[in-house]
Amino acid sequence: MLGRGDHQHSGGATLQRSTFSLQTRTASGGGDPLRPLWLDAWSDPVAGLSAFSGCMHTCNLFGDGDWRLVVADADKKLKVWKGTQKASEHALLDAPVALTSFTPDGPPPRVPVLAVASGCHVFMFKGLKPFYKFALPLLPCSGEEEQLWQQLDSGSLNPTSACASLAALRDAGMPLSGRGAELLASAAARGEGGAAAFVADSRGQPLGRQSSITCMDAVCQSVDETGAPSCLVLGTEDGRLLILNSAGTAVQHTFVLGCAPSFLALSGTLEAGLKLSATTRDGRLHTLRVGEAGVQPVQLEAQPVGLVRTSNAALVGVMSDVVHCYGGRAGCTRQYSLPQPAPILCMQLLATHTSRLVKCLIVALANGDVRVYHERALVSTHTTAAAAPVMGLVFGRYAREDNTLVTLTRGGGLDIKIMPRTANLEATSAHSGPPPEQDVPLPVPTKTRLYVEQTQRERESAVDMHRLFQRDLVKARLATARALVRVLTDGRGAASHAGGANLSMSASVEGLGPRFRLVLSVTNEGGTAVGGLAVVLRASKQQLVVPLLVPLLQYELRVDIRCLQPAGGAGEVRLVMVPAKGGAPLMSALVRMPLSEPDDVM
Amino acid sequence: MRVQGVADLLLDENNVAQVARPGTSLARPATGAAASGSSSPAVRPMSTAGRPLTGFARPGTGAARPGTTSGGRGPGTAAGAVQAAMRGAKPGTARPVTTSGRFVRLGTASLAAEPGGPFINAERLDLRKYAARPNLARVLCDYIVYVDHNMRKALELAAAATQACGYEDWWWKARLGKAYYQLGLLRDAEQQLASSLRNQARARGRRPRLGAPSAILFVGPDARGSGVAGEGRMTDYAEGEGGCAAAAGAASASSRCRTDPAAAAEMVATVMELAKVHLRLDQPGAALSLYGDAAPRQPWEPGLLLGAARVHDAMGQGEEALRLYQQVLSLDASSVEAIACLASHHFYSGQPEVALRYFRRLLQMGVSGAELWCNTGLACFYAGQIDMALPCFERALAAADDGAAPDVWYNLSQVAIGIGDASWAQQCLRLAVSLEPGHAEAWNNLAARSLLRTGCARGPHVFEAHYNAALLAWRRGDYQDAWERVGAALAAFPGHTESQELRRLLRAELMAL
Amino acid sequence: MKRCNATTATADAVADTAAWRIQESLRLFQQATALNPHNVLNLKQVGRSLALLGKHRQAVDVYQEAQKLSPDDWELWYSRGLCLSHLKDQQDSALECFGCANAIQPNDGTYIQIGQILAARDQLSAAIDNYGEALQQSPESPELLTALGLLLLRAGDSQRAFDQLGASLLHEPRGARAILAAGSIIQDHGDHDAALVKYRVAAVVEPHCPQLWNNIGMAFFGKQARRYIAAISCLSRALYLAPFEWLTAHNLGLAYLAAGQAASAFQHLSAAVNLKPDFAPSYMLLAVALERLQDPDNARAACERALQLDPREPLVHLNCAVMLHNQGDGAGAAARLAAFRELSAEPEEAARLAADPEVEEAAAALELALGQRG
Repeated sequence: MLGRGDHQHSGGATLQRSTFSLQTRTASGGGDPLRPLWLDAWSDPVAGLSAFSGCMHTCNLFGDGDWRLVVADADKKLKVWKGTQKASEHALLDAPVALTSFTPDGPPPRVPVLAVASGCHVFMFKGLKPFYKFALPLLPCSGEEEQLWQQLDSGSLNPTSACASLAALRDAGMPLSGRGAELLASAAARGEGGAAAFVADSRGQPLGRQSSITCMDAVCQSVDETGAPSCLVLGTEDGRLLILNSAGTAVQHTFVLGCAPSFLALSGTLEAGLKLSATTRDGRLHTLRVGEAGVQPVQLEAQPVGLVRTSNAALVGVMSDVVHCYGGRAGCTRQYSLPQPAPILCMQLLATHTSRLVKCLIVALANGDVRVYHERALVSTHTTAAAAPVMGLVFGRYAREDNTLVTLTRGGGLDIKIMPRTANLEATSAHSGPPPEQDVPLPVPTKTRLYVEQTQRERESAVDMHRLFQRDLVKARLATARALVRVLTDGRGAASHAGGANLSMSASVEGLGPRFRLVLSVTNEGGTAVGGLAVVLRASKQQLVVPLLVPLLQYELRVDIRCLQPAGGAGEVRLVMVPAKGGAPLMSALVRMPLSEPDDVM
Repeated sequence: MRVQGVADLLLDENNVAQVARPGTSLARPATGAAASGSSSPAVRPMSTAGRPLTGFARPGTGAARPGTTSGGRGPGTAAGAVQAAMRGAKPGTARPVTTSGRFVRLGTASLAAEPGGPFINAERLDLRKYAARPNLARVLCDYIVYVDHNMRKALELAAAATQACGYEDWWWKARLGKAYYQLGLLRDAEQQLASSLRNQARARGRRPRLGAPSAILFVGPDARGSGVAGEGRMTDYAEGEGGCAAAAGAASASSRCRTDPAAAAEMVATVMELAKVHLRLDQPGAALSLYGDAAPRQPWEPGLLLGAARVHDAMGQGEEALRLYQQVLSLDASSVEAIACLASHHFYSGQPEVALRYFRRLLQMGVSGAELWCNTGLACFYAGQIDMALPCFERALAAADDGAAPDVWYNLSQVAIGIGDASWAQQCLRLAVSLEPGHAEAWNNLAARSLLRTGCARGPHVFEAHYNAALLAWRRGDYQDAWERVGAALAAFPGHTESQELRRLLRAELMAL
Repeated sequence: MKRCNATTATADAVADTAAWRIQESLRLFQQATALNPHNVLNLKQVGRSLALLGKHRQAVDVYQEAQKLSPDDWELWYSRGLCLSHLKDQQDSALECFGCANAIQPNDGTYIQIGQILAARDQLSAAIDNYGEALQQSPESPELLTALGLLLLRAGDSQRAFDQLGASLLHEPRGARAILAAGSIIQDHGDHDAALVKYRVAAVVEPHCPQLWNNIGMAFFGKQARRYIAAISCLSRALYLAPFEWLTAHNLGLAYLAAGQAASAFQHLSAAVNLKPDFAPSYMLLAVALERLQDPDNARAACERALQLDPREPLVHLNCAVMLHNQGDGAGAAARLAAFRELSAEPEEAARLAADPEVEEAAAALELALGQRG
């Protein structure tokens, strides 16, 4: 395996505590808040894992105290890591959406049950063996649809008109049941016959709408401790939050949010002061309590990308690179904001299980930074290897270590860091004084002695200098005006104002020779269209007709020419634009031709 | 460094690294920390590759190598790279396809002009016979190389002769190296030249033999100093081929060599040729270490320092280059290149009076041309010597041909803006664009919307044009257009704070619900 | 199935928008809307795509459609207001829409937009109240604090402006605009050294900002030690970066005059008057420069122009008096001096002029000189 940085690791398999005593760098984090807080434990840049924070979890799978890392990978596999190696891999039936573990109520010792949510099911594993499959209850469909189906089943309505009314219901915004959607699909695919066949097949099947799970978390029932009984909390696509019972078999509480939740965070326990925060896909933050009516959700100014709850505040990261903290009684007042220098990718809660219960926020940014904030103060910041963006973060116990940060980076890398017990998270606000740039002296451009001497000269002869300059100025202005008039009217330059038109042209050469192509681009910068022009090549006496020049469009004219004497060196070609009926040239361009490649070289 | 042909650029197999580390390749000069003071695009015009456009124009460093600028814009990249390769250093010109072919043509062209046919027909010579007669062989080889430009024959002759003298003669190895270089076999050239240098070092203390006379035989194009123009578009001091400077260097080295034979170990000509090969292989670090090695042994030789300074310039390390140019000046008080580079540096660092002093020196040396007068005029104006500024511009206009005139008018427009006369400035800018429709900076300053579009198209390195267009689009409310333009501006100058601010605002607009 | 297509179309469209391919995303959103006409989110996105492409009138129509379906969505009011604010004749309706949006859900962005519209119409007190309300919602937003500070500065209340800018710098110590504004207030009160220290941060953050170098130059100019060379070099740099800034040209002319270089001063002051023809102090300084360049006729003409533009400014009268005296016109000088005495007797002018002891010295010297002549 690959070690990181300058730390020595034994080549062995398990993550030994003893190796860390070799490291002399202790990150106490006390006086200097920006010192790294983490000790590098192990990293594997090619672990081949690809999952977001929601699909990563550490838990005491077998009850043996050796916590393992479980990752529900995007390629439908459940990968279990023990120590520094992958212990096992299991196939999943469907693409995983979320992964967590909960402890069912029962006599101790309680072994946690692993729950993997995918589609509309939650698969529960005990000791990595499939244990139970919980399916979301069907949602009832609307009354009109039920009526329709009753009529269909009884035969009083024929399938075509049923399809038409179902389509009308759908267009009116009513969600259809699964059966209704399939009926419409088979009608679209196979016409009337298909619809009728489907109605016949599906007679008697339950009528309802299946939703799917969007996020999942676990909440403790009575005591907020590891190993205490806990229940699952699910967020569904149709905008509800469901709290399951302790065994994970039935729904205990339901909250209605109105829009599908994207992130979920909880604090407290079920029986005492549970506060649920959920962000929904339409950019709102909801704060809910069990048994109370929901309060008005907070409208965020950009889409949320992460959500974390401390005891009395919700920290939301949004796409405009800010983390907002909402607290207060109803959870609606914004207490503070933490602007970030780069887009936010993941957020996670850091809750130390040591002496004092300190809750901090871990934020991973797109430039590879991982920052830890305690309230408003930045406690530490470190960068992932090669500044790789972080895909998923999880903080918790792992392999007998209490405070571990497991990071998955894009590219499949796995990185494990440990926070030592002596780490001080409650650093005071970092810089109360002026920023360090204030010590850099101003880069005033320096002047030389020569300059000082010249100023002396000016002081002495200011009057003469002034007079001379004014006189020269007048002469220069006159010269400029004359030159401008000459260039614009005699057609020698590449721009023309003759006849009130405002044209310009430029030429370039293509080709290797001796056959070349000249590309002439003409633009009409004026306001009216100009026509009746032609371009004449002085070298070959070819003539090109120029189309009507519409203002502001760029026209490209191509003419092929041939170098008659390739060995004679390069020459020049002059192109002149004249009115087609004859007259003084308007403008001209001179092209220096390159040397032709001799045929035998190519 | 000569101008590379299209085929040499695009089909270059000699690249050591596809993606070189920053600071080790000529294609990617070091940026970031260097983008402050006088080498920031906000102060001094820079090309898209990050090198200053103003200063001293050398062949081969004008246009950026294709493929280093846009990098991965999709299927258009390949065609874009070919087009970029075809574009020459100056707008409106094209690159030659290959460089070796050009030499062949130059050779045949000159011979075709002579009556009575060629002097020596190299094809019909029996080279082995001549290889056995060392003195004659050397002269013949030089003729074939410098007059006939027939590198294959020269290679044969040199190979035969090296064999004949037992691989010990540094002169033949140097010629072999030169022939290999011209033929494009760079690794072999490197080998031969390095081996030649080693032989030279072993021959320490002995007088160089026929090296000196044969170097004088070659009369190449002289360093035609034709002045350096002012802010915005500093144009050429056309430099002769590297060989010419090397020849002069070799002559001077050999002349000084007679005073202290023990110290002079290598021929400066060979050192410079080997450095040229390294640069062609895109190994500036190797070239610099070669220069650094050889320079202490040749303390009076400005050519080595000049070569090293050029490499530093090409890599974007302006400060280092300046130090070396000052050393060159202390050795060779009339080095046009060093004076020009120092002058432009001082001009852009806010010390125009020092720049003026350097330009005056150039004028006193007899170098003259529209660009130099224009620069002098600008420096006078900004240094406060306003009474002398406009006469310089008059002279510049009188001496200007069609190539330099647009730049002179553009700089005159800067003077006009400096005194606040907007209509005069506009007239000067119109003159500049009518003489050269591709003058991006002038279009930008004229700043009408349609003109900005032309400016953006014609001058991708002029970040101001893109930024202005983006700002106008943003004010109109067309955020899509503004986003594209601000992206182009940041591609040209990533450190431009106003463009970054605009991009941040646009992103906020997009991210808002 | 159709709804699935709508969802895919929406997902593709969002991806296109994030990648700034707005045309494609617009097409896809319109497709999604055709499939699912009652989805307010799709309509919103169609409207937003049109707005991002600059087609504001069409976007307003789409938003009105969406508002029929969902009248209480603050984002629709906000977006509609935003589109209307881009249309020149609809600023009032834009303000109304923003007001409705704020009533439903207050948001920083809405307040900023309202503030911008009011400031552009010069309704400064209304704008200030608006920002005050916004700050109650989010008291620590550096953007709001800076905007309020700049408005207060424009309105002339520099004490409150300084408080707001200081608060903004507390939260974002590297905000260049806030630093510049705060520094200029400090300079107005005469503490140039403190201002220079503050500008250091801005110089690191934005080294090529012309206004910054202008302020730094004036700070050097205002110091007790009168470091003219430093001031001139900073101001020249500012002018190089922004040649059309009339204020920088004026300042540079002033610095050159103080340094005794009348020719350069004249050049820059004439640039200043070309760029801004109605600023009286420029003409006044131009007169002084011309007088030193021994061009009395033009000097007198410049004086007349300055007096014409701003007859209430006492310094103009004083300088004209000095100039006339130097040209030998004793009576004219005495008249101008009397006018100066009269104007400077007013309380606010007296307070301002008392800060600069040179003025009083010059007036006294002139009186003495005139008294000698009889």
